Amino acid sequence: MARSLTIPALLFCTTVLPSQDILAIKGGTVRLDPLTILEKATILIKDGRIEKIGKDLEIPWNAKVLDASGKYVMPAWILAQGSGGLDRENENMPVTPYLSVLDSLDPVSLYFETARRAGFGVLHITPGNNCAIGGQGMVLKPYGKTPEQMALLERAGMKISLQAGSGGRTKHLATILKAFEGALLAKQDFDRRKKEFEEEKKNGATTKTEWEEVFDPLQQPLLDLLDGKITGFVYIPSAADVPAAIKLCRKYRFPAVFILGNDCYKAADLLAPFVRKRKIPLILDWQIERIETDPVTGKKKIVCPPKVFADKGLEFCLTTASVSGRFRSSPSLAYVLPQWQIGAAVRGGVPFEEALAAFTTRPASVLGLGDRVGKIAPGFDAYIQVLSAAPLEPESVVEYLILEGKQVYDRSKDPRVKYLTGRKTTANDEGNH
Amino acid sequence: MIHSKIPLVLSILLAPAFLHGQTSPLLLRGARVFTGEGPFREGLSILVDGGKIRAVGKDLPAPKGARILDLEGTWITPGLIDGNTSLGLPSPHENEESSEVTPQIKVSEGLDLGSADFRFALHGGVTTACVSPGGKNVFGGLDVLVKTAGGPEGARIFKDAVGLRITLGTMPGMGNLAFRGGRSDSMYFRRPTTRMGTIWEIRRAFYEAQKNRESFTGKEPDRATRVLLAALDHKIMVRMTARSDADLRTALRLAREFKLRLVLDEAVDAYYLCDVLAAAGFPVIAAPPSVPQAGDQATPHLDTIALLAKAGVKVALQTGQGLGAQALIREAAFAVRGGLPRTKALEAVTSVAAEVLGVEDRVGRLAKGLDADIVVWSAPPLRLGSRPLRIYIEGNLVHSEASGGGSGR
Repeated sequence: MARSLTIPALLFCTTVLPSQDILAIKGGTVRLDPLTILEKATILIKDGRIEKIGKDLEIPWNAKVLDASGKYVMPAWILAQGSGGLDRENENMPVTPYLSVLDSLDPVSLYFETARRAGFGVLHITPGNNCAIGGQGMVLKPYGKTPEQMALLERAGMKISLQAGSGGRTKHLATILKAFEGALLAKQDFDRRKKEFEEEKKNGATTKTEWEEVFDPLQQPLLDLLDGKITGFVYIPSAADVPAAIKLCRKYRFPAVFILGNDCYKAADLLAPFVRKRKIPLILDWQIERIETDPVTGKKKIVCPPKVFADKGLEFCLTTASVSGRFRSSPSLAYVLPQWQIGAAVRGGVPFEEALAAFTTRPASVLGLGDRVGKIAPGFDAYIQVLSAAPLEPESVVEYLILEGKQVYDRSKDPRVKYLTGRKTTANDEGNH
Repeated sequence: MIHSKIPLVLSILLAPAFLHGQTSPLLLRGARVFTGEGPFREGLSILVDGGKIRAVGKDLPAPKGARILDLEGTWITPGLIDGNTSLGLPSPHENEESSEVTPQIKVSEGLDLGSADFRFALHGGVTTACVSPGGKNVFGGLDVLVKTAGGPEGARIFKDAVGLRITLGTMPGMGNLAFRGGRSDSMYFRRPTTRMGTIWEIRRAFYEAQKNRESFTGKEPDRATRVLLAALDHKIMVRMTARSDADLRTALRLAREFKLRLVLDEAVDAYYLCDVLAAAGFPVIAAPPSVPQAGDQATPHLDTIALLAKAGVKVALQTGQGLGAQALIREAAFAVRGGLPRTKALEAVTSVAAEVLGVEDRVGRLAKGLDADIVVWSAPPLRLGSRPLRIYIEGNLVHSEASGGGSGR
């Protein structure tokens, strides 16, 4: 009996470092936030929170020490939005506001393993783009055995997609409007009947003492959105869909975040005044170097959409391609790595600090976690990555990832890295290759 | 009458100078310079005249009338060389599929030098690209080396028929299966259809070429035979595409059998064979390291290029054909991520690439007498945010950030 208990316990120990009260990350070059660097600094983490940062901090005797000298320590990356790690991204119905990715999440998906290797600490996973109203997303860390263990926010927002299906744009918009109006009408009807019941009760026309009906739970999430209780993450596939998105937000006035498809920069002039006035954050597509073909002349040019938005003074989050799900056929591994995405933005003319913010502080505040993650500062949760070199150096890889003070990734023990490196003499060394 | 012709004659005589665009010598100084080998060095100046590099050295004096360009805070490399591409071709794998053995076909005949492909490669710092026929034929045909810009289009082809493309593995057999219910003797049913059939086609072609030489009766052999004989006689490069471990071993077997001097192309599984390849002295034009998938069940590893270089194999790099690779310099950077030293990575896309392609007397280094193909970078070129500020091909400024950048770059 005792033995059967120790085996799971041992397994647990090999995958998770024993939870330590105090962790000290010692001697690294620390980037606290996009603008501040501290050389040879030490970070003290207690119970998953950052307690102190400084040059000559006294390290408590009982602290676990992670030597980061010669390495580059910075906040773990944050993905503003993605649809990886799901069993399937979308249900095959157009309006499913009652669904939550919590029920579809696969904690052992390769996606989360890849995310840890790339240095992601926080991911916002939403339903995909195939449903008009896809359901609710969640904010999670790429670590844990169940969706609940992974969750930072179990209910993060409602995914709305303007990607038209076979019926074209008009039908697609009508579907969304019908869903919104339907929910509002149902609520009106519900309120009217409730009011009538109260009056009947007062007049003694009913024997019931309590109003027993609850509002349709399938519609409730839509009402929460329209009441401004949750945020709508609106996917706008192309520049041509920008007017519809603006119209939708004007009419229903829900708090919105725009997820922009890769040619939406063409509508930047139209977007700029509206998103500025309504303080709508932007999340950009992973294609940072886009080859644009002129439809008339056929002439091709390279465009960097983040640079277009930066020039307009708009703030944005950057994203990466995903190894699973929508971008299963991602051509190059580079597009999965935030460091390489930042490099592309910098080449395109976006200031380095701006590009860093687009993967750290900015998504943190878009997700409502601006005072918890995205920076290394006292009181913040310890979501930290240790890189072998500064993020834009080609040698730079994530050596350690620390989430809530717990070391969850160590490259030197990464089995996949081990499998894909080192000398082999025959194919049979690896069995079936 | 005679006098009126003088300006015309003069202008014809002067035309090459005008085409080169530089009537006066140019001195580049102040930048950190990678000459094609060793680390970046400070204090080196480069003197360019007549499309060639005239001198590289410390504190070069500026000749009379020379323009001087101070490039403090920048990094200079030779123009990059991409070892295998499909730039300017209508499809990634461009093959004449009327036969599976087309050694005589020149890819240069089907090349669109006006294609935007070349411009994008140039903007990534590539000044020389090897364009190769596709891998859907056993013998695909002859490669061509082109400059990505500068000069009239004909002048950009600087070495035609540089190598013969041979492809192993399943790709040459893929398009050859008969349609549903088709008969094996129908016109839609070519051979080979298997990996072993592919190898047999290689053997047969070489055997027959040798036989034709031996039974030579005063009649000139046909062009295909002449190309095959040139390959057997080591007169042109034999580029053999082999991805998996099994195909690489087959390539080595064929090399022994026909005494071929191979250049291995893609060689995804080469980490199994580092020492063997080093001992054979066969160079590798490696597949782009950031591409996670490869054909023929090969398994791309993170450190293949680093291991090959360490074992002493000459490794050049390629962005490849339809593989979805990044720009060449970033593929070199990805090889650095996999453990390749920076200097080796830069050599792989400059001097070593030139040696592998047999054009080290023209390009690949910054040295006296070589083409003035020069890239000036905004940061160390392998750093992820680095981009070319100015690019010269044969002394012509063909890209500069101020004029040619534009469009949000």
